Amino acid sequence: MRSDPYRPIKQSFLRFPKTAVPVLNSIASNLSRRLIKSATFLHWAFWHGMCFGRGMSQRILIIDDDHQLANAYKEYLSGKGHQVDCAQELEEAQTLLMHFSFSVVITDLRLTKLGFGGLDLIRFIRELSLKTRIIVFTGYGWPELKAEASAHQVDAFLRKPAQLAELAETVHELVGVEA
Amino acid sequence: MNTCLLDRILDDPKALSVRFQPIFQLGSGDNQVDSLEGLIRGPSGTNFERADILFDYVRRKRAEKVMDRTCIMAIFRAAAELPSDVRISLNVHASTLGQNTDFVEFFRDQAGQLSLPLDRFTLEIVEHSPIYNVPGLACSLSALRDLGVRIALDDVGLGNSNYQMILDCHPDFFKLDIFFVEGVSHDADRQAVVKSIICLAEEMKGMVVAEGACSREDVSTLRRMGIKLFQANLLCPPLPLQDLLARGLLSVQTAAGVSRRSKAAVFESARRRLLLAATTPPICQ
Repeated sequence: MRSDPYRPIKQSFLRFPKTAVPVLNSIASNLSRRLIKSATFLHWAFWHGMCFGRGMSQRILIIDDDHQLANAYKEYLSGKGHQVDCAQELEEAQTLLMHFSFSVVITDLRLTKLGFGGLDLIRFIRELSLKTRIIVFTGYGWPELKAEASAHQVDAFLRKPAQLAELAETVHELVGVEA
Repeated sequence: MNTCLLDRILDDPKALSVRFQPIFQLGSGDNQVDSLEGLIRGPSGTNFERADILFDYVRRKRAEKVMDRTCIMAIFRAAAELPSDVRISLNVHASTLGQNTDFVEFFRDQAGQLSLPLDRFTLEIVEHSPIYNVPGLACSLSALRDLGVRIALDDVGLGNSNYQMILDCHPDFFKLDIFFVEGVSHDADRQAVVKSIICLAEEMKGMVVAEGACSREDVSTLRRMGIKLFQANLLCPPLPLQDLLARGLLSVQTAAGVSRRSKAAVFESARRRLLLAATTPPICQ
């Protein structure tokens, strides 16, 4: 008959001296505490990693027919840790949007000398996804264009040419919170 | 310089590269390479290197005609490096054949400039747009057949490669898309569709090519169903000629400068190696 029903099982199997039992129990307890701590840390790291990931490294598409300007933005945002692609025309951008997922699209409203491809692009993006954040460069001050762009849930407007730091900050503000 | 991507691709002869993927004839003990399909890749290191992205862009630009011609020239140049007995397949849009009355002359002239016999070629018809010029297509196909070119219909059963297109093209080869091939071994519905296409091809005196088989089970099932021609990454992915050489699939002697006779001998030995490899997939990947 067992005198102590809560006696550690190890004691009976391994026949440790009675004095060793509290030490072993303490080791086991420490170990389990450490395990719990590790699991908590991993859980914390996972969620915070995800959140930080959302804010830090995004796939961004820049559409501008000014190749040099687009490349300058690309270089700057790439330096901030983002993965950046550039497109110079509507069809190139539409193709990339069909095949890849972008968190942020930065586009000029005026993509060709003949029309306003930017608005077509914004409509195209919104048909594909409501989650994609859209930043629009405006340099023309035409309120009706801006109003139409706003109707398609453009997330931010920046005056062109935008300051690099201002652009990076806008991107961070938009994707730092969950879409 | 602010030129669009398409102009940059068309202006730079090195922007496009050619890969060749073998089409294997898997028979009972006499497996061999039936032909090679010439495939185009876009500018290296860009998003447009992938063919599906490149041609999606080309279609959005409605530039199929000019792109098809550029691709054909690139594949012809690469094909000139291959032994003269190797058959080559290449893709062309139905709209290009339908709208371009001078396409056949272009095709003949380009092949002639490189002394490539036209009966080595199979044109694979692809089409993603529902509208194409049917009488023009029929006229072009008839003229190409007279020159000895064989016709294949790509992606049979998907999109615009439908029954109408089958009747319009009357293909020599029915290329079954991966959509029907993948998982066919354990999917009775897919087997029923494949069986119907095999029957259709037999009735029309054509052959079926299964594209994109991903498992040995699928290959075995399709072979049991009567398909002999297979093109799949499982057997060999699309490779540049140099990589075929590097992997030992072709001998280094196939480099330019070797006589056509010795090239043919070298390729024959490569065929034997591929044959060996085809019996024990996967060999590459």
